[in-house]
Amino acid sequence: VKVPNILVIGAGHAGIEAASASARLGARVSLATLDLKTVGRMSCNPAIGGIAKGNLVAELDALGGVMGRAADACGIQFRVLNRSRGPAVWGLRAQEDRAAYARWMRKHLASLPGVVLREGMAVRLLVDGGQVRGALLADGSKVRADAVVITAGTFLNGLIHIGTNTRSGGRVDEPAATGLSESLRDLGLSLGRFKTGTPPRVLADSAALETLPSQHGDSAPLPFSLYTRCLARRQMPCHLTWTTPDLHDFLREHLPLSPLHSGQITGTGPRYCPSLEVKVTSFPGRERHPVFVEPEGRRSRELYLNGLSMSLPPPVQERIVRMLPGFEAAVISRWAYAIEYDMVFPDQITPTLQVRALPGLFLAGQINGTSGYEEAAAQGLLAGINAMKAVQGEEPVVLGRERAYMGILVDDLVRTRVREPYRMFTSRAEYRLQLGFRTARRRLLPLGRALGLMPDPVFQRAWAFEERVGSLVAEAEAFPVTPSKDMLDRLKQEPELRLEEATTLAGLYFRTRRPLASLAPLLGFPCRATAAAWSRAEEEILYAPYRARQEEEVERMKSLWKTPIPQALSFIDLPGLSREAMQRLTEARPRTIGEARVLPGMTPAALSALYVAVTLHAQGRKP
Amino acid sequence: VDTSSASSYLQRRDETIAAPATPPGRGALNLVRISGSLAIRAVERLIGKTLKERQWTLASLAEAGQATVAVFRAPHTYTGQDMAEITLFGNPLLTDRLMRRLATEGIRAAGPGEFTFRAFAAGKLDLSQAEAVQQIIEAANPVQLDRAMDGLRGVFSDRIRAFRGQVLEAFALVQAALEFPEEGLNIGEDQISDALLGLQEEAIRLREASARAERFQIFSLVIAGPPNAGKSTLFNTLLGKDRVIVSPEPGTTRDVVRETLWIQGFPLSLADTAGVFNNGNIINMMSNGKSLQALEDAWKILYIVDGSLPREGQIDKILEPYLKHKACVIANKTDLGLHPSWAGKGIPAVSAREGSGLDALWKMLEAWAGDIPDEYGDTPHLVSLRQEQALDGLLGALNRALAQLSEGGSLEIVAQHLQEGVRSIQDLTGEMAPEEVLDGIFSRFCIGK
Repeated sequence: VKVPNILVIGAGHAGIEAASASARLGARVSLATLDLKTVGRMSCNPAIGGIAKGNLVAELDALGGVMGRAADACGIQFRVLNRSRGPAVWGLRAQEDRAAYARWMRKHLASLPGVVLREGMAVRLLVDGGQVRGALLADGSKVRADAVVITAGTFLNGLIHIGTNTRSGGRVDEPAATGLSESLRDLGLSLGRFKTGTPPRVLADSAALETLPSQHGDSAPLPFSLYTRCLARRQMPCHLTWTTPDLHDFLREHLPLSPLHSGQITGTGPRYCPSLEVKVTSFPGRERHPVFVEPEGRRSRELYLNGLSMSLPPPVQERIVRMLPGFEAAVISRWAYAIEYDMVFPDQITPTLQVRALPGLFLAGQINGTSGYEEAAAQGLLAGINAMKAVQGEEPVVLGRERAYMGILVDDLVRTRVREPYRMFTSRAEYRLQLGFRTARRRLLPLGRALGLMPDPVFQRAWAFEERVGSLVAEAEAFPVTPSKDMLDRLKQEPELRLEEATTLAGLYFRTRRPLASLAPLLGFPCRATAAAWSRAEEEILYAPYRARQEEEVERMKSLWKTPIPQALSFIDLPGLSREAMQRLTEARPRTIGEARVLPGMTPAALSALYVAVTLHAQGRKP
Repeated sequence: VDTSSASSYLQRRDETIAAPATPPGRGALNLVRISGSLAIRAVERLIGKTLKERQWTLASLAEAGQATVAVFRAPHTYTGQDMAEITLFGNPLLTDRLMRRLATEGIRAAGPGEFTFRAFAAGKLDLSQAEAVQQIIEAANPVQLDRAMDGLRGVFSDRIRAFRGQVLEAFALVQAALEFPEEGLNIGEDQISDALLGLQEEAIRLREASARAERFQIFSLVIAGPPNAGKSTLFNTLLGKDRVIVSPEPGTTRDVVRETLWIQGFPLSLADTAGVFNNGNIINMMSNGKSLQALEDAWKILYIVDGSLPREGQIDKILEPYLKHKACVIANKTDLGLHPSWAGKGIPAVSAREGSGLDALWKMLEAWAGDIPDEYGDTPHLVSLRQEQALDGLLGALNRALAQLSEGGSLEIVAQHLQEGVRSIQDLTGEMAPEEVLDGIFSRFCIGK
């Protein structure tokens, strides 16, 4: 049997997942990077996870991705955000030791016999008979492959802005990747230009952190990964400072020096991660904006000023930083900058992340117009898996929106026109209540194992816990709680637990939200369980009513999606369809309504028009 | 727009259709409209000459006599297609002949609402406007008609657009509180429940305006009575114009005819009915069923009797249930003398033909109109059942969300209910994609570390 060759271009979060997954699935992987020293580098803030993003990491982990393992191993502070809300919207977030994280990733890649790291810049794709077959590197060598995954991050024709100074680069002090964008354009792809930015970093010794309020990690931190048995004991605090009205005035005076205002930057930036210039000008009524002071690592001498991304000239940056309380004597170690880069509009890829018009070419990460480490890694894993599936002629992995944030991510990318860097939010989910980060294993572990990315002992241990939770829930739902004398006696000390009608343990929890761990012994429930299992059981019970409704809805939708589209049906001049939709349908020739749905430009209205036409066609009537 | 016919209309959009635009058998003139690619050519063939756009031309049609015709070219027409209009004398036979002639030109008769559907499909009307057109066609009374006209003019669309904005804003507020706990947005539960309550209030207002529109159906003033009591004469006299044909023959009026009668600025639906025969005996007149229904639906009934004839046998027993609360007996034809059996009973005596005794009748009508609570204000209303059901869906979801909130339930569950509510009104407001909700968040709050 021939061993498949996969070429991965770029060794950031997406590239590492793609390389690691395809190698573990049996491929020989060439992982090309501009600089071997930068493998696994976090370009922006030293943190993994957050609301919705933490769920992506947990899902990745259940499918055999590596981001969660690295984040657990190199984390210096762990926190569950949104604790005051229900578990569906909890967000696990970890501050990371930036250097340790990159080291962990390099080690991991080195541990995979199938992966060969290769320094060099891919400048042109090799295409043979319409199929992408590898890439030409700048040094003239050709890397042949059965499939190519591009995970170029911000490097494609990257342009860095600091004040009026612009220079080519993929990150500060790193060269940009040139040539590949032109190659993609030559092959007929449509490219756009996005923008992002990063804040300045300062020397820790120069800041008066002791004068600032601090933020600490959770006392009982939760890990991302099912591999992780225990987390490092010692956590590091973050600090909080605020911008001031004086600082805003100073910034406004110097706005003309910002490339954002001079028109020098043309790319589209993310609105959820605005630069300081945008914050101050768009929200003039706000007197202050928070700045999160994050340590860069256990032994790092630098601090990351999260919230202060800008592209002003260095002297202005320095004044601004020194106007922050606690940073009056700050020494800046790296300047903030804005960066513009090329991206490929993702309506040109299929839900397997393969370029529709170029079989053999997969795209993942920022090149698809997303932002964020977690979004990139999620795509990297899926691209790596699906590249292998494509080469081996097997069914690809496409996750439904109801099943995972990873599914929502890909579905959104391929179906909608991405106008700004795409970030995951829980409000993108139709079924948010079912996608809590702790449920990722129940949702995805069996698939991870079936794919072959999950060693059996690891799976068995994690799955045993899921089964334990399942049986706890079943027993709590079956355990009767009736207003009998015995039960009322037990509840005497708990006047708030009114018991007017017969219910179950699960029902009583649902009504009162009193922790199961305390209700169970009180009511004489015979099962013992760990705090973690009780807590997970609570989440299942809390959202069970919504889950039943969702499952019904999803079933209805899926059966609709299975409706076949007859090959004889012509999409041209089908009433109710836009020209664009007709063209897309004719090109893609979807076999089912579900396949048509994921084509770009298929609005709900267009889809129902198509459905009408298909139904009429089936009745032998001419549409 | 009925969805079941909508899909078939969608499929048959290339065919040319024609329909009489005025109700059959009424008025001096009938208008036939044609829409589709064959429209202009067919009309030109009919009259044997080419036509200038948007110009009324007098013509003589072999099948339908004298007519005026005009043609309108796509896309600046009601349906967005080529259109033609032919005005004929108001004889249903002529209309029928013209329709048959058009069929030989490959033009078929339109289904109900098909013109409107084409206008909607061509993007000329939004859904609520299209529905308003249907309502205009079907309006049973002038109040409904006015409301439907508001809908067509976009008043309703504006109101819904504003409501949609309000829904998005409330939804964005809840989502922002869930998505960005670290950004110091300070969104309190009070603020959220205020937003949801505001939404509930507006949804209830829209819903009630709609329910009121239904109630307006009963502000129908029905003229009833035995045959040949002069009901139609009174009808015409009250309206100040000859709306219905009157004749000394009993049973001339065979259908229920309605017109708007303005009293003190309040529009009533004045209905003339076919005579109800002695003691409810069904005589072979189809229209009696309709007359009986009109009585049942009436807000007030003017029961006209022939005052020159004896009382005996003129007050039909079917009237008895209405006499107490909504019917008033009027003795007509006093120009022929008042029969003694009517005297001393406080029954208004009029002569519709000569116009005598009408002052007292007007005073009575004004007093009635004054009793109608003026509660419909200027609130545009929902014009279709579908829209009402959509709002009911939202209201149910809002109730669940507010109940969660007041019971200290988690905000993500509140959001779930709200999301279901938002989905239930998408038919009314158009889709509200997550991206749009996020837009709302980013424009309102400074997000981002």
